[in-house]
Amino acid sequence: MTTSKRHLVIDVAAVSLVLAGFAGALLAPTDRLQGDLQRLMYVHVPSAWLAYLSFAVTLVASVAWLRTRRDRWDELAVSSVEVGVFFTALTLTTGSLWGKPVWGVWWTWDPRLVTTALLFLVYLGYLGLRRGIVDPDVRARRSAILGIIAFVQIPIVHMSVVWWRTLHQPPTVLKPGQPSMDPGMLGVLLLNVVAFTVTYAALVRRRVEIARAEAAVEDALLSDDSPLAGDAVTAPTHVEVLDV
Amino acid sequence: MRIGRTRVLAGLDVTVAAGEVVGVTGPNGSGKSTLLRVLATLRRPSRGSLDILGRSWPDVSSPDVRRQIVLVGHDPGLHPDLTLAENLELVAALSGLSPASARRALADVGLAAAADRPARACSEGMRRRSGLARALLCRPRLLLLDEPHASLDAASRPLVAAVADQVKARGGAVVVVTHDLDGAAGHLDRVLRLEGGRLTAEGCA
Amino acid sequence: MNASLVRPLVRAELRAEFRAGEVVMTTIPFAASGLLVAAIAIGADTPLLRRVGPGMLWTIVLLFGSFVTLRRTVSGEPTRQEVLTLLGVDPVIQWVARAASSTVLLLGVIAVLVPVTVVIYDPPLTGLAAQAVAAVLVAVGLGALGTLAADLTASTRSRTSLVPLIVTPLTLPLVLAAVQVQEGAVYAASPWPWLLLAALTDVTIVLAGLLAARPLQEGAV
Repeated sequence: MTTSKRHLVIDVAAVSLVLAGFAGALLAPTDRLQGDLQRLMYVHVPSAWLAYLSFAVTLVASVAWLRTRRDRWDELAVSSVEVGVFFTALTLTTGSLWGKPVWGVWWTWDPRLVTTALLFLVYLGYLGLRRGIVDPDVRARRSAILGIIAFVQIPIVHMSVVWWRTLHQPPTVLKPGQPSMDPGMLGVLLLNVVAFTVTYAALVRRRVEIARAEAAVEDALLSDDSPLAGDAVTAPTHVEVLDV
Repeated sequence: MRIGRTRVLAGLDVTVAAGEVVGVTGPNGSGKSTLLRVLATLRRPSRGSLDILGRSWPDVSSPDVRRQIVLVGHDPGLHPDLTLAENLELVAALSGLSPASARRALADVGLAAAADRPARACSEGMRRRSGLARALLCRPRLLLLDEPHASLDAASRPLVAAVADQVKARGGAVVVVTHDLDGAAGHLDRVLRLEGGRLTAEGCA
Repeated sequence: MNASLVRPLVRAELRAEFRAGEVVMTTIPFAASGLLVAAIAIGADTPLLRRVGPGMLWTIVLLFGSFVTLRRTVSGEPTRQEVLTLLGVDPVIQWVARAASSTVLLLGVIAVLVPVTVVIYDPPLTGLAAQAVAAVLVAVGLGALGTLAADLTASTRSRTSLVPLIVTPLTLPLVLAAVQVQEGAVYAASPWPWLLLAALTDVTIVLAGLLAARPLQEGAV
């Protein structure tokens, strides 16, 4: 199977799985307590899973870049962050929309929520840092270091928020994803997790392809007979005028 | 040699022998400063090889090789809030030399009276001279000077030659990037001409 | 690697700051005005101010502390870094000296802001020994991560906002620890879990900085 065919397969798989997951979310049994609102879970939970998955992929790609210095690892790292930041935002938005009617507030100091919000901010910083650096090698190096530090520090941040909450008040609020879940709901949720994960893979592949195409264009301009920097400077032509 | 995605130097084959003072000249943007930074081990050539003091990549970037190299660039690397003496005393302390030797080097380039002035209050020419003082202080085996004559007054121009001669006399090598071949003539053993990142001429001064 | 080179470097960093007064003349007054404005915005409710004081102090230290690491340093700028590199000073030594001098300056910032907080907010003053330890741990972690973030963003356009953006979320455990130690002292709770958490945070950050120093300078130019 050629590369483009394989890409097509994964794209088609992603689209059909998402459609199936969407249909499943509509057809799944209604929650007795929360009603239709609970259907947000089919977006919220898979997005949250993807947020963590994508930043973990960035961690692995960052370590791999520092070891091998291969461009493709840097391309994978940034692609995964871009897709991850989108899904983190989706997690926060759906969580907030769900929280308002259920908990009565847009925001609650649930440790998972706080950590996810901090993740979102740190990886926005990662993307901001990349935008500020022109040299591709320096950019890859610095973002690999940040990609590692951010992920390594997150468990400690999470732990600190958990501690802080347990000292104040036990987390007694109604939690999403209660253990006793209707098997139909669970099935649809799992279908959506798979659908989102395949979508993540398809998006990252596309994004990596774009990064590779950009690098290829730059490299093509860099063949051995491409102009050297100094060729841009020629002798000034207004010298006679100055002589007068 | 490329910086980021820009090609700067190409097809360059240069050897500088011990006890030699080599001038590098050429129009703006021809890659002279980049060549110096490659020779200073601060930039790794993207292709080709680099041997310094009998060592090659990646060995040339080891601290014991680097300690024998001094690069005096356009910006002599002074902290603006520290005085000239404090800047040079830091260099001395990091090279295991006494603070007095730093002041002596400043006196040698005629900056004894300005030694306690913050670098930000010094003129371009004075800062340039303090760069030469660093070269005197560190006694390098490879001295790299980037347009050392720029901003220097006529009286202090022979200073460049004197500093270069000192390194040469100890068996070191000097590479001088300069637009002022007349001013430097007599002290250069050889002149290379760079144009657009390529070597276009090589000859005796 | 010669660790004795740290001392002349730290001395030069501190002397440069002493001359320029970047931290003393701008960061500290700016941070103090932050404390004042926050108090006014909250309102003249004495019991409330007393309760939120320590939280305000550490929030301000966290937000404004990043500026300390953005000051003009001896080893943090490309040409001076090149001079040091050619003197054979290991990047790790340069990083340690920068982080250490930032930590010292942050301790200075905290030392000025604490009395300002006491005057404006009048928080209960108990368990001072544990709070002093917490303050040192905050300064170490913030100084180290700030230095690392300043290196990561060196010569980029928006570094004055990028550094706080990177530093603030990742140093949350330090602020939580400092505030909880103070709050715990009021209820006679043990400060140790929080001090340990802050220490763990510091160790991770310092290790990251030490490991990142060499690869970072390889691409500094």
